[in-house]
Amino acid sequence: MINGAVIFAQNNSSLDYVKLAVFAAKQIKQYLDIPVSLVTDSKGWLNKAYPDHPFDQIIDIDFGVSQYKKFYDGALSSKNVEWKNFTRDKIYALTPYDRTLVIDSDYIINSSVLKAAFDNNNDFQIYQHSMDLAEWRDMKEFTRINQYSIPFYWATAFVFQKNYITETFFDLVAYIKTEWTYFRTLYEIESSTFRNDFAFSIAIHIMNGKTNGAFAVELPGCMTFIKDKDLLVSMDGNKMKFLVEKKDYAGQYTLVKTTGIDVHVMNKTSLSRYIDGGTGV
Amino acid sequence: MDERIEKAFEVANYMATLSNQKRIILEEYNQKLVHYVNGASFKVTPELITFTKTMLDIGHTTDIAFVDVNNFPVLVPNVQEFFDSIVAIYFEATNEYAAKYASIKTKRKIADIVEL
Repeated sequence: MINGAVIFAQNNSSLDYVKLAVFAAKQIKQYLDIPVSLVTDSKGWLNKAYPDHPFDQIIDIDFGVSQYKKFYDGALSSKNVEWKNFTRDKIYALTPYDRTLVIDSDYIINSSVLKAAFDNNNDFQIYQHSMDLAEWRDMKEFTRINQYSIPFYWATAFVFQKNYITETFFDLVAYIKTEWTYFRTLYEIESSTFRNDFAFSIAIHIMNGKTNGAFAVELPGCMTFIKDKDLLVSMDGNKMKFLVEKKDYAGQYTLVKTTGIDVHVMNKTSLSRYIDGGTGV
Repeated sequence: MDERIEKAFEVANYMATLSNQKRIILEEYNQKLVHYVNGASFKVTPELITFTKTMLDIGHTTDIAFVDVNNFPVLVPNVQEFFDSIVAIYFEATNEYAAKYASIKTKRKIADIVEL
């Protein structure tokens, strides 16, 4: 059985996702020691800007459709930018591996904890539980997809093995994406923006027979994250330092440090600045 | 701003940083307590250690079924080996957690807590 990781990266006019993916891939190789492939619509840019990239295979996809989303860069700055997140359900057909770890380009691996996921025989492993590095923030948006609805799962990182069950799951995600207006109404999701997290959560709910089934097993570790209103300060080995926003004091931050845990750095602009110049502030 | 109020805010910032950092090192500890065997995941707890020791004491030493964190059963072929592994993991992780906790507890400046 061939194990590997796949990262999705589709550039927009504001952010070089390919650069983030190159960085994330190096972290995967260092800590998990598995081949990494890239799914991108910017293959030309990858080869031109990062000729010494660490990818095992480059999987070309069409530019596809996109939507716009407001992204913050720290608590005081934001802009609406193009967001291409409509290809995640195609991973079953795209992955060159039998068992695949799929991560977003802003998910930074600092530990070998996910290695254990490859020794696990479950079809589909994903994070349900998470930890916000800002202690005070309300976590309910990451607990259930709404107050009265089903559990929330993170499409940011997951491991699956190829078989007819997971193929069915990704077919379901594709169907939910196609009929997004219907499903978001059915599951009372306020935002019209399509999110893979929501589509995955709904598909898992359906795969579980709309009960608390065992289709999705928790990935090893925990989904630790900062939001886009926080900032990445620096990295040194497996240590990361962040400024997380303070409650009720926009623009003021608390400094935190992590050691040896994987972190989802939702402030991609800050991560990009760090990769460019060694500081994300 | 009044000097005393300024000082109070400094202390409040220090307390917020300390509290958050304690939470993060606890999570780092929890992640180190995970043990994997035969495709199953276990969180190493005093209860798991005690249960495993009991199994050994009553002579159940090979091919014993355990239930992992996802409620899946797994056969542990060598219970003594499993016991040795989880005890080692528990003490290594707990000692590291204790050292980190003791270290940040004595720090009186934010910069020292996060080792700037």
